[in-house]
Amino acid sequence: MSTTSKRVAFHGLLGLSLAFLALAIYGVWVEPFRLEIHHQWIEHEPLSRVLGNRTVVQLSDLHVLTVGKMEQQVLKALDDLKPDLIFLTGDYVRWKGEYEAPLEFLSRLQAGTGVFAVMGDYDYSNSRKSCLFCHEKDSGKPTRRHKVRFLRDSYVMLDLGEGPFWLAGWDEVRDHVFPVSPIHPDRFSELPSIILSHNPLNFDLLDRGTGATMLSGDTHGGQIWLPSLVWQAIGYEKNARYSQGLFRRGENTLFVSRGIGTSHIRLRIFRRPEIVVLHFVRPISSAQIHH
Amino acid sequence: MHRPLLFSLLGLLLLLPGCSPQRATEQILSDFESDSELDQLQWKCHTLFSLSDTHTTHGGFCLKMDLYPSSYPGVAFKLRTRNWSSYGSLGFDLFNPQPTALPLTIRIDDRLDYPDYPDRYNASFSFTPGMNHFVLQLKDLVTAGSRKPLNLRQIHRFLIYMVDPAEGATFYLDYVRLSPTIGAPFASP
Repeated sequence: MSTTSKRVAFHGLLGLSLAFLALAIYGVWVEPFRLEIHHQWIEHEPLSRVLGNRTVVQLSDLHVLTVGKMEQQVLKALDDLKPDLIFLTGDYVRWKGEYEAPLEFLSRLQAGTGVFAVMGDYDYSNSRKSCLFCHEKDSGKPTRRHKVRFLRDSYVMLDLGEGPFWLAGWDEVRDHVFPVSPIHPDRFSELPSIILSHNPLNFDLLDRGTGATMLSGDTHGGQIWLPSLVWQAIGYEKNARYSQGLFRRGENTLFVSRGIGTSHIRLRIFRRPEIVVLHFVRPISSAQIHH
Repeated sequence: MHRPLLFSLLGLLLLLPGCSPQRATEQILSDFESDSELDQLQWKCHTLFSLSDTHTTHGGFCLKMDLYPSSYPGVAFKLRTRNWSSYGSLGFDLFNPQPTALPLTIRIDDRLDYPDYPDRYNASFSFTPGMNHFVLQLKDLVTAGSRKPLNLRQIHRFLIYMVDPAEGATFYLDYVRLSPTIGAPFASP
């Protein structure tokens, strides 16, 4: 190899190493704190009628360790947005982590009509402490720590003035010992419906004709970009199929949030943490017919 | 005596206890003596666990279970001992403070894959008001459908629960154990 070639190779390698280092620094110290307000438009005639003029926010995968810089950013952004509804799609704690800071964060959430939530797999990583989301410590009494309403395989009918709709929460932990049927979609035929489900794979279990909109999280958008095939190969089916964004199947719609926190390692590259503002709008075709 | 022969005999004597059939000693599955034992239980809605120093039969505390109306409120044990084949019976002490007898179901799985009702041990027993010393002979453990004996070498799950109770109930549970003896079977009224 000539001296010039060696020099080119050296500089190429050095450049690559520096680029990799810069990306790693960005991924660890910059992007995990670059909170994005993600406005997501969802074409859905029935939901546009009942929620079209409302501010609906989704937060997911907070993995709170302390109510620190990132959490303060989220709370400040929510103050500015003044949401009518906040939907939380699970994973408020670290794996077998402490529950005090996540509960403190939940206590600071406010929305005009209410804050509704489901739990994620991390939230159940300590089953005894997971009770604290709904109950006072070692008691069956409802918690007074926060005003978040947890939906555990249950429904609530909401009406913000423009007509009623169903809000359902699909619990993360399936009881394999005594399996029960998950959410029955039959009830959703009469009214518009939103389902909160931490795990996006539950979308596959919905009857295609339900017409429901499911909001999920769990994937973090992968935290870094990788092709679906790679996620599939390493056994992350959720990321392979529903990494982030909007999906449709039959008459159903799924939106998967990248979430806010991180798990395993604090790293995000081109997968910014996000607060999602959901805008339910009439489909273009139906809007044209009415005009 | 010839020295090598003496050593051989001594060696044989030392080996003898190892050759005799191994007798299991009592194995306590749960005794509920510390708060950390509560962490080992699977907590779920409609069942509240706490330690109690009343109605104990072994040690200083027992498990107080407050069961609320729901499908299957109760307790699932985390099993450290999966091989039950060297034991004769499963026992526990249960105090029923209600004025009437109440049924509790015992489920034991010898498969990891959550067997359906016919393929697991599933039996209901009535527990009278007051203290009940429950003993279940392990030779009687058969699946609910095909009456096939359970594989005692691989027990994966053991639960005690109510089925769809209309009203809440409280029980005090203590001294959950595997015993080498068969013991007198529990007389369910």
